[in-house]
Amino acid sequence: MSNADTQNMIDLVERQTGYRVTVDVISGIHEHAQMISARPEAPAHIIRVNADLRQRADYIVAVQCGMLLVLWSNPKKVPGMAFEKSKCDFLAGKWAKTKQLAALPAETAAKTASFYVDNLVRQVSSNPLEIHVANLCYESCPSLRDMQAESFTAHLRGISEAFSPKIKEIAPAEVFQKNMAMNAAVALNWARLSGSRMCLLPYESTGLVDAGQKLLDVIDAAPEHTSENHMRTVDAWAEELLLRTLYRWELSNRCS
Amino acid sequence: MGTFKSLLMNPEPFSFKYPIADFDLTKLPVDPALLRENPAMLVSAVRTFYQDCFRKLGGTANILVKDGVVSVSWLPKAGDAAEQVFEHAVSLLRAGDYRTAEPLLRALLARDANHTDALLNLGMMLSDQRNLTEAAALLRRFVDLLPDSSHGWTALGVAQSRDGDVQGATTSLERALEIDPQNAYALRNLGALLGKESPQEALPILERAARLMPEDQAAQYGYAQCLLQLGRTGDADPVFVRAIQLSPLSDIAELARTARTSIAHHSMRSAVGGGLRPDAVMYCLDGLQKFRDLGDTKTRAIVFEISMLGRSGLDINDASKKYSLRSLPGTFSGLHLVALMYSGMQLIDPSIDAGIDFSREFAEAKRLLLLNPSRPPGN
Repeated sequence: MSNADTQNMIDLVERQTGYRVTVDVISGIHEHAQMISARPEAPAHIIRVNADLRQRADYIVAVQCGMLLVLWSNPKKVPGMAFEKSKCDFLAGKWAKTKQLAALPAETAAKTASFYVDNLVRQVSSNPLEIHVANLCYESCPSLRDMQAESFTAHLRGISEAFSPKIKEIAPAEVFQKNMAMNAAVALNWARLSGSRMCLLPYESTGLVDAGQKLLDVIDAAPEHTSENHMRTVDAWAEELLLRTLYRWELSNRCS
Repeated sequence: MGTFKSLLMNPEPFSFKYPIADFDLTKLPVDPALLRENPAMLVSAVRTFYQDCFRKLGGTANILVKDGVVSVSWLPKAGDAAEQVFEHAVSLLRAGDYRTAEPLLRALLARDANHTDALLNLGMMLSDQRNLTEAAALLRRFVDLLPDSSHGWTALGVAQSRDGDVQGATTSLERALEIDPQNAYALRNLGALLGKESPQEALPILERAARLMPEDQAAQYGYAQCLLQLGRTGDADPVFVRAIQLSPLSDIAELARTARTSIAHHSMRSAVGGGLRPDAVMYCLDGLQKFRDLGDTKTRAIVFEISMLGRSGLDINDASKKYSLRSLPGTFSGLHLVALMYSGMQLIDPSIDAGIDFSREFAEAKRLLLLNPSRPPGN
């Protein structure tokens, strides 16, 4: 990569994990990047940057490398999250009966409720990592701060769409509260890094800042960028949000 | 300049007003639809936006939103308000924040229509945004005011070129070079214009641009492409390499990679008069033997790793063993790795496009293997 901070992140990943990092661009995806982490039968990490975002590729690659650095702090125990299907189904069944979803045809309500459960479990895993990595990149990659600001501005704009009355009306209150508490933690962290409270306006107007601050405090109390700390943080968030029974950790050895 | 002098002598706030409907919501960290639905939040967003903007400059900012009009007034702690606003606008432009910079530049021009720095920067910004009519008008006004500005003529030439006005662009860029023959941007853009019709004429111009701007990817690529057009592949290749290194994920880098692949194929075949490469035959044979012993899973891992390594470019015309793999011990030349990858892909799925044609070498290797199945590897 042409940016020295990004290249440094790539070098750190290659040294720490023992696998080469390959960076590519890809069209037709919605997310910023796709990352396929290495395993013995496919011995390279592949980071594929969304072609529409190639102007910010240096930052996007640095973020993906940051995730690898955290999750692969011990390459013999790389954590992955597995759903506890029966617990997820139970919760989805409960949410399908809420007034917001009960008005829908039964099959649609069930699918929508399952979608909410899956997404919240993914979010409780990804948001703490996102915050850790944002902080890591902010510290380690000063030359990428403009790109980081641009990236977070777009991301926070996107997640604030959830305040739209149309979305609020169809989501069970419990789903909305959990989702927004996590979003608020991401926004609070960015407000602190950027020095601007603009991104907090929707959360302040709906009284969600305190819930987000509680989650952010968990990260502040244990800022180490390790996979063990990541799992502890996710578990603490999940406890707080009453989601802890919905998943289990599975550790894989990527060195063999 | 009279305006600047009077400002220095009588400090006054830098002020501007505009309808809140004109405030661009699309780049804020809050959903624009949410802001439109919530007037109180919109007012907070506008106020916060300018508070953030002027906090970096110090001094005192007053932002009033009333009756649908945003009024901004800023008094610096010391010094010339207009000058500081201009410097802030330029720093925003450098960071790519055109949206924040634009109202500041327009406010400067509203106060002084002949503010040449604002004319030039707003003109270039609009040119980048493909608002070419207004860009050309502002830049024309700039060169009318400062006819000896090489940068001004270059910016005008670029806007004209983007607008399809080849004749006007050529004239403006030539004027820029009359004033400053070392203006690398003028050289790069004039070379690109001339290169379409006459690469021979463009070559010395693009060579100078590439030399003057070694960190400019477009300058390096333009020069390499011109060399390639003239059949100077050996000279073009290292310049393409340089262009890729400068920004490996850009569109230009992808074009440079494609050009390099075609150069490598051409060079590889031309080294043996277009015939069979005996070294590649031996490497394919090595692959067939290795993969037979290692099995399918390991073969796939090796092929995968080589193809990933190849994304950064494998030099197949350099015989030195400068590459290593995690999945296979030893050091390898670029040609060796590519031949291994080709052989592996043929074994896994012959329909996979390896990006290089070693079909004749692979067929010969298979024939040799059948003749002498116990032959030791070639490497």
